[in-house]
Amino acid sequence: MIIAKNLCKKFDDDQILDCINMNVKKGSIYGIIGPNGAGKTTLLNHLAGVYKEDSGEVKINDQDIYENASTKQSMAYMQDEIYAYPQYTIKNMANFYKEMYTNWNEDRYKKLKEIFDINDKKRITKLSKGMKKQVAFCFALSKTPQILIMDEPIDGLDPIARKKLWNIVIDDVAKREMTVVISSHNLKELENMCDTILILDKGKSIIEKSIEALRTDVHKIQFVLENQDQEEELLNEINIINSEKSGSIRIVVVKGEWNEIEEKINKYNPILLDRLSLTLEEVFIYEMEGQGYEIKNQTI
Amino acid sequence: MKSKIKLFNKAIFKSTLKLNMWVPILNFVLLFLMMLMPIMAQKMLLKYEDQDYLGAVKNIINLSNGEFNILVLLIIPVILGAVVTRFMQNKLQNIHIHSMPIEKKQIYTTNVIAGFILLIIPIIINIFGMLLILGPSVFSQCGNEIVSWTYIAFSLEFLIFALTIMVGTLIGSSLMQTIFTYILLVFPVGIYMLIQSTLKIFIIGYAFKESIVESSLAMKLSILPQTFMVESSYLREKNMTENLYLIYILVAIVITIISYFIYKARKVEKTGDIVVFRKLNPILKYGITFCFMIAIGMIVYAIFNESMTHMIVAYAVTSFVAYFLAEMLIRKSVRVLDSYKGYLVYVIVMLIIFAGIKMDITGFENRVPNIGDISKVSYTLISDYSNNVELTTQENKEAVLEIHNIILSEKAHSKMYSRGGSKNYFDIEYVLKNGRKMSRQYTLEYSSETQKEIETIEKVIFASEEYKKQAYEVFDKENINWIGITLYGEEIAHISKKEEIKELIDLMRKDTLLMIYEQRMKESQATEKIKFVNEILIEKHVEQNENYERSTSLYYNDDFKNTKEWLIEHNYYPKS
Repeated sequence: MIIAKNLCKKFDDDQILDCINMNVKKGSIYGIIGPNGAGKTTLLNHLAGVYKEDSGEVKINDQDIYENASTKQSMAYMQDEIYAYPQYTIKNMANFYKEMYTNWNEDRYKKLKEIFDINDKKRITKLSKGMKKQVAFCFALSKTPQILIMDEPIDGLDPIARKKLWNIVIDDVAKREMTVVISSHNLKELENMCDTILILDKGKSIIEKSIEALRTDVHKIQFVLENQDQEEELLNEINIINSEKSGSIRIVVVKGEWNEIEEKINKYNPILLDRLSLTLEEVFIYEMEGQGYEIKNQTI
Repeated sequence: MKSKIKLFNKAIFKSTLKLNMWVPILNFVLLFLMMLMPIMAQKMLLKYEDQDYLGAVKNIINLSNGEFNILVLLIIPVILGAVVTRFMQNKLQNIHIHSMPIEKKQIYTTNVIAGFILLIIPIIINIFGMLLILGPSVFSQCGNEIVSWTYIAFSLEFLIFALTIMVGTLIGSSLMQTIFTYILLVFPVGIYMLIQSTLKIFIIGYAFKESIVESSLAMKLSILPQTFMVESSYLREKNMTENLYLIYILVAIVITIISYFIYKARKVEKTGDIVVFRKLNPILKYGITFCFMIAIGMIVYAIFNESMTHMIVAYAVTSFVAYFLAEMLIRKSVRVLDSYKGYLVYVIVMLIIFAGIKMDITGFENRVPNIGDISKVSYTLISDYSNNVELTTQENKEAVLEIHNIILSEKAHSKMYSRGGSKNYFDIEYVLKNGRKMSRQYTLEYSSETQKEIETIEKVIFASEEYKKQAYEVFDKENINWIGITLYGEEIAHISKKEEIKELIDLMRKDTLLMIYEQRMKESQATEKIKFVNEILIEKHVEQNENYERSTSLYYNDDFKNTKEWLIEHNYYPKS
């Protein structure tokens, strides 16, 4: 559906995107995560066909997206900060999109307006940040897009509006097989929504993995062996990402199939063997540490 | 049909019109205040049949005293050009518009067409307004003036609009776009004059006639002064006959098309940068440095009494400051000192250029043509204010060359500006047999011996028939039908008989040919010797038509023996 291959972009001398590869499947929700300045918005601007890549390619349904008006008809891009013509009311802007997008659905627009309790006689520039986001979301969804690209969509939204937004997105993905690309600097926010996560840092893609794979792949366990001397032996047998000891209890983060790992530990007759719950955030942190990124608790 | 749709987008078109409607409204209000309201006032003050009424209305439409009207021509199209390219300069809007299902081609053409419509609406409404106020009969009597106003206003506004758009495609901020547009509107003539004047300082003999600036190409390319010239009916007519306004319209169309390709190549993310194409940064940087350097250098040179030292110090200081300021502007940061290498390159290049000019590596200063190569030469006698005369005889060419060589031997005393009159000013222009021209101008301070030397040679030129025939108007005017004789500015007699006119002119020609070098200054010197006669001016009137008559004063002095005798004989000579 959406494919980026070796996508590179420089702003003057700064490498903003460095050889990004990504693959978004139809009907999936794809999350892009990274700290400020990682290149998330720049990447989305490429996916939305706003920026032209310096090298590499960005294709949607096997077509270049840059300057591709017909593909853009079935796309909606919700910018981080909504743009609206000065003096325009919400209604004016809706009418503008109605003329611009052939798939604009007035009924959907009316429903969305109701859901978010929007008074469309108000000027957009006078709205609060959160209200602007909700309005932008209504516009985006009224275009009945096949692809929805959202840059930090929930930033500044209250919990109720967030919930509404997610429900609508998930509903559209389920019913219409809409493809969604979302960026956020908050992993927790996306962990329950996305099928696949891409982590960006300083323009580089660090991990692109499906949540499913991550969850079954990394495990946090604590164990105590009968014979403490065999611990070293065991640790060499399994694929350790992180390991620490508190008293006689050994806590490790391990990569691999759970059954295999369990089998290996059981051979050493553990007195205690527990699987601990692992948040996605921890999985990522361990995964990144595993790839050589040092994530320290930095203090000043 | 499909291609038509592809060039145009209704949603964008409507929004551009709607958002920027205030510009034509403002434009119309200004036009109303400056044209329609004064016309209405005239209508109330004067009666229809009154000739003054028509004249007054015509004057208003003609932009006589139309400074404010001219300001409208200069301001409105820049505002319009800036607002229709606003989408490129506002970061959010830029991303927004380019994320929509519309190609760059559509975005550009739609916005430009909308802007163009907003530009012409007030012009059209203004015409209808005039029709309404004046009524069909007066309106048609003012037809010429109305057509010419519409044509000129449209041509200038369209060109300025197109230029603003072009600057907008190159620059990433609306404010800078406006500033650079106005710079561009005066740039050609500004840089032309600066470079010419600078060369005149550095190269002795370099000819730069300020009088030709007005008709120069640089002036034609400078829209701001051109717009101000609209006020003068003479220049307007001249531009009309040269089809300048038509050319402006064509140029505007070409610029609009070129701007599309610039916009197409422009990257969306460059918004906010001063120059959106990196390759243009050096041009901007060195351009600013150079222009500031020679402009400030020129001012310092004039202020500090033509001091070359002061000027060079000014060059060094200004170029340094301007270079790093430009760098700051481009980088949008004050940390620019690391770009000092670029400045060193500039300094080295400038040193080479100016050293080359100063050392005269092309031999410009000492070059004098071979007599055999000269087809003709124009030369003005010292202390003579009249036009240059073209000399072709071998004797005269030799004389000019001889004077030229004297000047060159004195060139160390060359000055930029003459002080205390133009006594020491020389203007020589050779036309060579190969068709090329060689012009030299000098302002010298020299000793009385040198002056005598030059005068001795000038006597030869003065004595020649070709000199007199060009220098004195009595030779080139035919069909004179009236001669007035004035004394102290008051006419005391006139001659209108054809035979008498012919006799008098023939005698004056004869006396002019007989006049010697020393006599030519007599008019101003002889007042005390011969009290009144030398004040006689002989006027002739030619080209009399219904509107005006043109008169010329012919040179006469009391040494014109044959003329004087004839005047006495025919009782035209003033009695003491």
